Amino acid sequence: MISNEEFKHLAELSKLEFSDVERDKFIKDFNHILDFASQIINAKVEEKSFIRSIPLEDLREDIVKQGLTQAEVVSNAPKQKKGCYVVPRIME
Amino acid sequence: MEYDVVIGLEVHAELKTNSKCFCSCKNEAGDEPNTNCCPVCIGLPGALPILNKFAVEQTIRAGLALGFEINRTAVFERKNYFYPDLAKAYQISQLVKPICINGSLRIGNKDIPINRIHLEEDAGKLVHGADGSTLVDYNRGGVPLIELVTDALKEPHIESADEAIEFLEKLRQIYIYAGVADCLIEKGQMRADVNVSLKPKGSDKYGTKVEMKNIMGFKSVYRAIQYEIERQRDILDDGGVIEQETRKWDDDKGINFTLRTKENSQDYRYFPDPDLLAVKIDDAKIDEIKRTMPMLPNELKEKYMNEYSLSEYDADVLLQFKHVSDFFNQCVADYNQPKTVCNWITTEIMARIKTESGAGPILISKDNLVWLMKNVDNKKINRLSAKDVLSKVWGTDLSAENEAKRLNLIIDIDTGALDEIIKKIVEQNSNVVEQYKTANDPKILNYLVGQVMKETRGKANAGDVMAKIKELANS
Amino acid sequence: MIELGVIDTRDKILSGEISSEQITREYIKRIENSDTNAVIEIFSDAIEQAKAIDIRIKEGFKGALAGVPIIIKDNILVKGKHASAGSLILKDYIAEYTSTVAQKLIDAGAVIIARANMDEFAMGGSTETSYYGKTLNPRDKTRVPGGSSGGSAAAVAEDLCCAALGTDTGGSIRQPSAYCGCVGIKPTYGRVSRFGVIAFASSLDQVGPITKNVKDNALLLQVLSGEDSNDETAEKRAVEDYSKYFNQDIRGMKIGVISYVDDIVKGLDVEKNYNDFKEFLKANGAEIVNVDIKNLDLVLPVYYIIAPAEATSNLARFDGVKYTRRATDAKNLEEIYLKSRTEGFGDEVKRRIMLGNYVLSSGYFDAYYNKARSLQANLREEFLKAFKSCDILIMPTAKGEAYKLGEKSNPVDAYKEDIFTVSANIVGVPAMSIPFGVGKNGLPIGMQIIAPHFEEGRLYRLADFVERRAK
Repeated sequence: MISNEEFKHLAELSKLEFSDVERDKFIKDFNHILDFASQIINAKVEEKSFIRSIPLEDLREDIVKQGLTQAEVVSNAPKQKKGCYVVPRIME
Repeated sequence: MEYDVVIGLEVHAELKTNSKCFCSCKNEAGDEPNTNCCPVCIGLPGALPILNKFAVEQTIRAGLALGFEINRTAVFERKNYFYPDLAKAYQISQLVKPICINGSLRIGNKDIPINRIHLEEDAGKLVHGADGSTLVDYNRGGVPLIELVTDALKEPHIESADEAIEFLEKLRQIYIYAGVADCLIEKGQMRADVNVSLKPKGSDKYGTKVEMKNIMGFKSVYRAIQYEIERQRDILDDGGVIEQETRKWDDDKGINFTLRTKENSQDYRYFPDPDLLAVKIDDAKIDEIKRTMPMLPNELKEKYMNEYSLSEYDADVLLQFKHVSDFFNQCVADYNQPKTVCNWITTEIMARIKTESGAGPILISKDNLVWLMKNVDNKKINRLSAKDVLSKVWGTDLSAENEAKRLNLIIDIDTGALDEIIKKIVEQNSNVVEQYKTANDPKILNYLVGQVMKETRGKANAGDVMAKIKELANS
Repeated sequence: MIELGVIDTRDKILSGEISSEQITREYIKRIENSDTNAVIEIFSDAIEQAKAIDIRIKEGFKGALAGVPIIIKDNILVKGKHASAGSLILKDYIAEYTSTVAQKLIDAGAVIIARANMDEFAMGGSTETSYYGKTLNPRDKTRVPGGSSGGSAAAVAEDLCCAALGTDTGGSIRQPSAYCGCVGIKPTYGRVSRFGVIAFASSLDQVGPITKNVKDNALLLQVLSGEDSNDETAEKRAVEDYSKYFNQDIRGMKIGVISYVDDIVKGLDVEKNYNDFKEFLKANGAEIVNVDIKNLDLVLPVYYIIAPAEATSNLARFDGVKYTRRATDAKNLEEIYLKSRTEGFGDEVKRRIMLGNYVLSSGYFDAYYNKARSLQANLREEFLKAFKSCDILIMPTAKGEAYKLGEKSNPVDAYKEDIFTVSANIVGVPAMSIPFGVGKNGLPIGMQIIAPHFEEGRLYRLADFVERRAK
């Protein structure tokens, strides 16, 4: 079960906004899903992890290749200037 | 109250490679914005990272230079957070199985333990405009970066700002000598995060850490540490409590301020990047990198002092800049007179290249300098003439030999002719010679030598001339 | 002519009986007249592509897919064309580069005529979560076509193309293939490049063909397969000529049935077809072997932890800064993120992003994500063990016929529909859905056949036999 507080934290991590009504419905569904996912928590199983690997020798050689043009890079940008993406000024 | 200071460092250095860490774009952050970019490094949908072999080798090289163990399996993870300089909204980094683990770096008589060096990608660059907007440039996005993290939970610790700077300078020198990074501070190629904690003197319980991120330049690091030590000391002396937080160093104002408290600490949700395979590193590769490791500063210093009998001071001067010691090594390889070479380089060359913040390029070829040194030693050209020639050829592609000939500085006068000239000068200055004989004043002798040199237009060997004058005067 | 598959159409084009342009025009007309909403967009250059191929064919070009009209799922990039993954957030996105799979189609001479509808970001099993509207099942328009590659399967079933590409993360090729009566394969993970395919869960996603028959399917997979310098996870393995597996019998083939599957099939609509399938195989000389897969009952939660975890990270790049829609009223950076994403994503996608963040966040990571990864590794070993005693595993593709539109509105109910399909993704093995009989409403039923890693050939041998012999 997740609390409103936890839900808020998840929404922040997800960069999503919910109205109060949406939130209540969402939490209900979410708790259902968590119940379902939580089945695995108590499963007795040997701890391991399968990871595919590659020998260092087979990795990409350090050779430069032509990528996109500046115009292509910003071709889908919602806002652009001087070949850059533009966002409202960030206060640090 | 007296405190022990414990300082931890996280040092980022951009690797020297041709291409980026996970794509084939040029590793060059400084070009026109977004011109060294491709679907991978601007995070387009469907684009996949392809790991650069050389970036891994460079990381191993950095690790071996610092005595690290190399993990035989290295895994890449995603560090998730939103920021416009991070195209994919995650940074590919390493958490659980970094390439290098457990190394150390000696400062003074302490071996500072280092936890890890891992390989990751750099973020892009943000340019904050005056018009209320921020521009995003991904040329630097995906540039390979190694992050070194000291192990502040193990002794001995870095205990002062001075030691921290010594650590950083040593580290920088090793990276540069190993050829893994250029570490140009002004280009942001080496950046440090610092954490500081204080504990009552002798206590074995660590104090609360305060972190300061991304401090540019060693001088700023020094000031930031000094400031933070004082800040914490004041709080503790007043009976206060140190908050675990990240603070931002403001170099202009010389203060720091809270950026993020512990409650607001980021949850990066690391997990293994499913687009990348774990890298298997075998002994043969590690041996190969060890075998081809360039000589590191401490090894060179030993060689200079023991094999070449240079003083520690001279050795340090030569080693301060890699291109200087490289040049020294090349010259010695050609002309096996290390002391002579060292003298020329530490005086004539250093005087010409030293700048406020470092050293510029050496604008004379090895062949030219070796020719000058050899011919001074062989008495074919005077030291002073040789310095003139050095000045003439510096920054040009002229040959020292041609220039010396053109200026008629080669000592080619035959002994008979020289003897005649000396005789003539001694005769013309008989009263001066008499003075010399009574006063035995070297100044007078030098005057006479000067007259001969003038007559020969500098083409005689001053030492020989002096001997001859003495001989005549005393005969 | 429109009902013909890939190989037949190609042969007619190569023999000069029909031109690529003619058949392409025919399909475009059918798409324009269709009311199933299988297709989001007909590519404006489709006729141009076909004309160009016709010219090349006259010059002697004999590509494996020469002139064949094919539809791709809306998450596969072709430079200069829209690709939106069924989402509003990518509505205006035009691909800057071409995916490896699309390039392979183009190189083989295919004409890519349209992009097919799909569940938003491939998250769903009904194509009802698409921003571009629901797709109807052409066999019964009151029912879903399945999903997430519902548009692709519907287009093939409705003869809007010769074949289509789908992607499969937890059953997204096989289940719609079953619901629409098509042949669909999820290849071994690493058999086909993912470069240029909008990712859902990177460690599970595979592109595969949805076709009208088995031989077409094999040909298309052969074209799509192979290593890729743009995808580390695409394995360096020789591409097989699958035609060598055709026209064989299945005598002596060991068919594994999983006891857990037998248990849950009891009482489902698909039970009869499943039993018929076993009988059919037995009657044709195959040997049925019972196998046990430990923890198979947990594979669904494992899937619904790993897939959202990866998805939440994969979908973070859609942030309104670089190429996705930006909310117009966003005043600062934080608002760009929040509003663009909140407007741009649908509910199911939001649920999975939130779930992914939950299982990855500190405090829950070990209990959920790491535990799921452990279970995944164990399940993989269990499958490898099972394949020591059998050549192929069988199970239904879905619980029954295609269900009614709007029937599965509860998320967990919808997730449970994936019970038979997610294992192959979690374990990485190839799995195919082939039509086998019909259900009680006369709608197609799919049977799933699963082989060990990179043994697609076995699947084609069995599937080809079933296609030839089963009524």
